Amino acid sequence: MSAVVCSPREGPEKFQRRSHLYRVCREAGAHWRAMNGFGVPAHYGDVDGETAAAARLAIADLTALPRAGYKGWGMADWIQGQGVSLTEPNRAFRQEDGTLACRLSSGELLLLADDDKASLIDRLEEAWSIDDAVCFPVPRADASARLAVTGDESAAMMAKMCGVDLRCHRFADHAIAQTSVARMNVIVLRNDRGALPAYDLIFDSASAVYLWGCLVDAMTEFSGRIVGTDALDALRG
Amino acid sequence: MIPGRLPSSPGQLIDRSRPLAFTFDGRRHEGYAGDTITSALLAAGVRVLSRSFKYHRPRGTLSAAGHDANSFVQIGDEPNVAADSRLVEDGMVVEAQNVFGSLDNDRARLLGHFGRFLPVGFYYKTFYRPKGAWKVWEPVVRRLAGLGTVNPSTPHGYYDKQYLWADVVVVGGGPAGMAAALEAAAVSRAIEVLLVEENPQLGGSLTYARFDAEGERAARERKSLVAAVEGCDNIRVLAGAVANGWFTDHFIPVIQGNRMFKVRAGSVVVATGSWEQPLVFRNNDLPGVMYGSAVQRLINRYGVRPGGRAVIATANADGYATALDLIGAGVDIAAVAELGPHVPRHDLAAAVSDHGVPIMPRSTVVEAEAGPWKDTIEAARIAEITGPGTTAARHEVHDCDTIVTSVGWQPAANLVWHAGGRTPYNETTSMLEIGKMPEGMHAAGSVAGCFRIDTVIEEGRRAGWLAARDAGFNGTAMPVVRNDRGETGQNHPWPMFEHPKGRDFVDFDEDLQVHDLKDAVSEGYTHIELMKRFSTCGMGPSQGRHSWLNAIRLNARENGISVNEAGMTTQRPPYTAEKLGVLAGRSFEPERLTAMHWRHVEAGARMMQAGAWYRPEHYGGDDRDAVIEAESRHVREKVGLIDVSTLGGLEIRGPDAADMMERMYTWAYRKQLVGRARYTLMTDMTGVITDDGVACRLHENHYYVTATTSGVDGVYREMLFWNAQWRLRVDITNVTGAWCGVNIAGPRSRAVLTRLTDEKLDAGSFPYMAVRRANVAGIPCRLLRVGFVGELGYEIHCPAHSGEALWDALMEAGREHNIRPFGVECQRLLRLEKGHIIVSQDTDGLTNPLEADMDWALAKKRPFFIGKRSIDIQRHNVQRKLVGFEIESRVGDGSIPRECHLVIRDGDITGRVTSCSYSPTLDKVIGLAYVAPDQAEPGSTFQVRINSGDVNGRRVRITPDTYVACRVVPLPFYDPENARQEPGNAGP
Repeated sequence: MSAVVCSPREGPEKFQRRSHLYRVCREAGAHWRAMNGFGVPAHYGDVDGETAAAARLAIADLTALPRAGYKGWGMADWIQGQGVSLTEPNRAFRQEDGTLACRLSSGELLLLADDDKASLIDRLEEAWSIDDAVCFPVPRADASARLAVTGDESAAMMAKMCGVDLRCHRFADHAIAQTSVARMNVIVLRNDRGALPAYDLIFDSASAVYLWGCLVDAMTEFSGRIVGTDALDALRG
Repeated sequence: MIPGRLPSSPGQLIDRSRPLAFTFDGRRHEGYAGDTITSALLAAGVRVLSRSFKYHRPRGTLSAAGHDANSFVQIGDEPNVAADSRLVEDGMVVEAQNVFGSLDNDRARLLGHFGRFLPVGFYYKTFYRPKGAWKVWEPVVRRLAGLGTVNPSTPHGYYDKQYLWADVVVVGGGPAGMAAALEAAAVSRAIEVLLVEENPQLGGSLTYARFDAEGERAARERKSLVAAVEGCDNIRVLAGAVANGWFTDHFIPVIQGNRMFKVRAGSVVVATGSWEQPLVFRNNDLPGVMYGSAVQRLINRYGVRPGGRAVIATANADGYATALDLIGAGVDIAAVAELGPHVPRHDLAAAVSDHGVPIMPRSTVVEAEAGPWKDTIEAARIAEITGPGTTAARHEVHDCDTIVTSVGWQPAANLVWHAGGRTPYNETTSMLEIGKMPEGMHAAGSVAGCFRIDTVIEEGRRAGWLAARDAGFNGTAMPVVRNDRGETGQNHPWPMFEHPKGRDFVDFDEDLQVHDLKDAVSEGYTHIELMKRFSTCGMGPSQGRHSWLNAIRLNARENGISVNEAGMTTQRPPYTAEKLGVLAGRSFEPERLTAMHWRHVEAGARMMQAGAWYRPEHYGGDDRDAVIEAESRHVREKVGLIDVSTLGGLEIRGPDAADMMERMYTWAYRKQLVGRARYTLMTDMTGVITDDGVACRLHENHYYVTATTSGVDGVYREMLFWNAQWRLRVDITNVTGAWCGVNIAGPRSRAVLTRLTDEKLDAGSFPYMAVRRANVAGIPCRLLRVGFVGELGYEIHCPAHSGEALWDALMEAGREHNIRPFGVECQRLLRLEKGHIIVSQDTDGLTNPLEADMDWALAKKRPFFIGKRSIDIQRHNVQRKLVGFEIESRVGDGSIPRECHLVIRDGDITGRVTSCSYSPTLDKVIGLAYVAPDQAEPGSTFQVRINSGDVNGRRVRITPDTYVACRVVPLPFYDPENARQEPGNAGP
């Protein structure tokens, strides 16, 4: 993990790629780290406090983390031919390099990296060619934003915005719900950090500011907090 | 002895260590934490809480449960608060509502003297003659009608919604509900039970009712059941919460405070209890006439003595239980009028008799004698019952200040009704009884007609067990229920004693007396639904809880039919009034921002909404037209930059991509060269234009297609729909959010772009409608040379997360060329000058390409595209044509034709204006309009009717009949040779 490179007041505009949320994170006092061409909110000046908050309820912007998608009639054959292990639809399966392969349907796959290494995503990108394609890349890196919602209260908070029962005993780790959250189409992935319940939300990047606002409002009654990636890394161990 | 506070005793809900002060109608009162407004006022000797809706008669508490409108008050901005159930707060300011003057001196009470002129349904027939009279009466009626005051400037409160899931939902936290919840929870440790209780505490009737002469049973049962519920891990209790409706698949909105829980249940137990029903006699609405259950609530929950001397009229054991509570509270009982033929033999009646209280069988109260100010009771007149609704002429007069009635119950079966259940009338028990239950729903307790406490609990257990089974849980044996349910002898079959002088109220909300309902039937409103609507019986705030049973009995008798033949009206959600704030909740209105959004805001843009997107309308300045004009001149003369990220983007990829394109769009794409772009026009099966855009062929098997901002989702949906049938080997992906786009346009655009890319931009290397993949400022982009605004220009599409960096780079590179951002309105003007249409502005839901003069965009030799057959059929029957027009001389602001102004010929409509604006470049007003085909030739003139402004330099009268002469001209208005779109031809 690279060091924090920017002060709270500058930072993200030094990078060519920018999360739609960089302004709200900057307003919250983010300290930035370079990752995948983005400036990423590493922390907000209180890593220990953020880590403790993340165990209760917190949200973090993970938009900078690599991701990719493939869909088409021949997706399963092609992707398995590339050495990717698939599971049934609406489940995710962690690959050898740590990438989560989220099967959205029989013909669509979403790949999420939990750090900036993304070796599988890069390898698939190099292997794919349109000339004999039976499936096609979905530009998830830019089409989608990715947020993490962590902590014991996360399911209760999500119940204020989502009609799917996401409680841990009803929605297993690595389960996927493609559903409506705050009236938006959102892919909800249960992606625990260590023993801590957590959810990843993948959704239209243009609506990132909107959904972030909804989450901040919803988590107020639970004393939720905005945290950086350092806190999530600490939880994951 | 006057009403007042009783000594403390177990089970009371008030905390005497926490005194509170509040005001009611301007006077200060005191109460305790846990008091309702009603209980605190009654303890202070205040009985009049409100004035009735129609006659402004004084009203006091009836049910003490918040089930009726008698206790409605106003608290600040909140009207129609039930004082019976709202807990009093320190410093609370409570006002009477529906009064003219004060509660004690309501001037509108004089309306009561004109009752004979206000018969049932008077508002349907009284104020309409002579013609025009309603205009005079309407403001008077509206001022008199309604309850409470709504303040439109009330600040928004914070309301919220939350989903909740449970295997079994039990509605009602009384003995039946608690037993049901406990039994369901015992079936399996995995089961999740939600127990919803309307009151702040569990217990229901156990918190006030008496089930034995000693008065110990209720407290004992409550203590036991509540402890068990609280000790049960898989029961969640929502107290102070109302299950306000039932919807398909056991979806139940539960309102608690400012939050609505949207509950999904596996099965439901309805244990909602029942509502006590009134005895109808003269002046039965006076303050001091109360249900027995109201008296018991006041005594046992709040430690309030409800009166000094009471007369009780009863037809069941509850009246005697109430009598014992009153005796225990120190209230004298003048007499018990037993409506039944004999003094009952149960222990409760014996205990009352043992206290020396006279019990008068086959008797009823026929009149409450009012005090001098008509707001108190001085005596009750009791008479012998001689038949259903008839009494002997001889009355006994008993001095009293309180009349208590206990003559029957109606099930609070709203959730059952919402779910499609029925409650037929049982002629033997005189009760509405729940019939066949909807699937997955069970009832227990008095709502199911069970009144014996042992059986109530047993039936509750069985209902809980059945609900658990319906939710998919097994593990215990079904509880046994004994047979004696106690339903016989609860309801009197005809508790109505019409008085020749009236004021015998059946519906307190609407001030409806017995003769009102009889008159409604005699006027021909015989059907129960018609009688309801004509009389408004049951249409007040309490929705018939206390009137409907007697109303259908009356309807049946007047029609000579049975109660079941009279039937019930339809009951729909909500069960009780709910605030609009609760319905609105935390409103979710998704918004989409482009990557450059904040750059626009920083540049002073005035943002406008385009669907969920926000787009810059124009940049800065209060003079909108001047700003737009300046922006357009800048693009024509220098260089401008506009954010077009909201344009839809679709990837069409696969071996059959060209085939897909040719089926979905009207033009030809199979022979389109890779690296070239082509206009797209989409029609539906009826040949109506639905969208347009540009198709960029990036590979033999790959088209990148743009669509309109508002149309892309529909286009994407259509493509998926059709290919689900065609099964072409093609993948369709909506990439609208993945790509940002800008259009840099103007004679200096090439110079700016050259600084940021190595791509050759000369006309030969990068011709008009060419497409390239190239890096711009180091960002991988798709470059399109297009000319929507009629100048040399480039659309640059880049990955969304690099959008702001691209914008920054272009603005920086354009600094020396004086680059300036321009907004949507400027773009609309520039494209109008160029004669380009905007789908949905210059087209409508009926426009085909022939009408829009877009025959050129139709592939006539192709056998098929969606809409082709319809267009071919319409080819020889074109009804209108879209033309360009201009008004020759300069006109002033606000006077030009506007969108949708009509083209009129000889009094008939032949078309309408779709776009019109003053063009600073051309210095004239130009526009697009639909006209009749014979008006479409260049040089033809037509008339547009406008509705304001100056025309041809002179002020015209602002009337709807002002016409402007327009002349058809060829399109485009600007640069017909397209010379401006070529590099080197566009000036400096």
